[in-house]
Amino acid sequence: MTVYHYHKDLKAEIKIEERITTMAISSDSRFLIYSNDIDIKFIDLATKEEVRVFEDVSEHQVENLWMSPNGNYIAVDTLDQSISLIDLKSEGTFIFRDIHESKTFV
Amino acid sequence: MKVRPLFEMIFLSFIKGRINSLAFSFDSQYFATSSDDKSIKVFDIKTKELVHQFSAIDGGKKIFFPLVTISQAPILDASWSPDNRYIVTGNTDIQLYDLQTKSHAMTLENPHKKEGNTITEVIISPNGKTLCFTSTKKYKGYPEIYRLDPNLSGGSSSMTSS
Repeated sequence: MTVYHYHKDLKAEIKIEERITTMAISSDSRFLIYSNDIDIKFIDLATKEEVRVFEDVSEHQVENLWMSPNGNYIAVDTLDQSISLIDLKSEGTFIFRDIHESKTFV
Repeated sequence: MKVRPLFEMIFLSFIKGRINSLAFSFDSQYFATSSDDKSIKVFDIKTKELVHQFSAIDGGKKIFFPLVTISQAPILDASWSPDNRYIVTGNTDIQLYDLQTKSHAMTLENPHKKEGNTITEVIISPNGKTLCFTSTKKYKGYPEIYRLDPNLSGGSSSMTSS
């Protein structure tokens, strides 16, 4: 997969030789953040280098990811419908399981 | 890379309450999740505790009930107002919940509700003056995007299609 980074009339290619299940731009616009299914990786948009990796953030497939506006946290939701909250400063991960009900009677 | 069996994907998606969206508050102190179980849950990032919970309402005529869900549609998206006071959700209609008063604040009607279309995405602009949403209604194969200028104090709104 190729990710194209546009800045005014400048186009840059970032080659990523693996599957991308979800991606986001960091709150400070410096990094491309993506998941390859189980890891979270940071690509520096200026150097196109991989600068940070969180391995095996979940036992299950990462479906979506979001960064907090202050850039201190990343939340991912996974196939088992859990939320993994990653503290980017301490690098600790907290998992919220069974947040929502499986069935609702209407 | 791990290969995940198809049955695991189907099983886990079916048996667990599906999370449709997550949104951080602008001050990064909370996040909210919306789900097929027709509820919004707000968590405190620091304490990791559930601090607010709203069940979806239908048509804005009734206040939510803690244990009974009366909406017919899952909540597909939720967003925060820039002052971190309101959460706006999309299902059959657009609903605003006031976290300060812990109550439903306003219903903005989905113009395509009668055709069975539901709200798929909803977002408030960073200045808090504009709300945009899309529904399952398609125009030439693309979702229609509406711009809304809600008057939170008066309860009225104007809508333009773009």
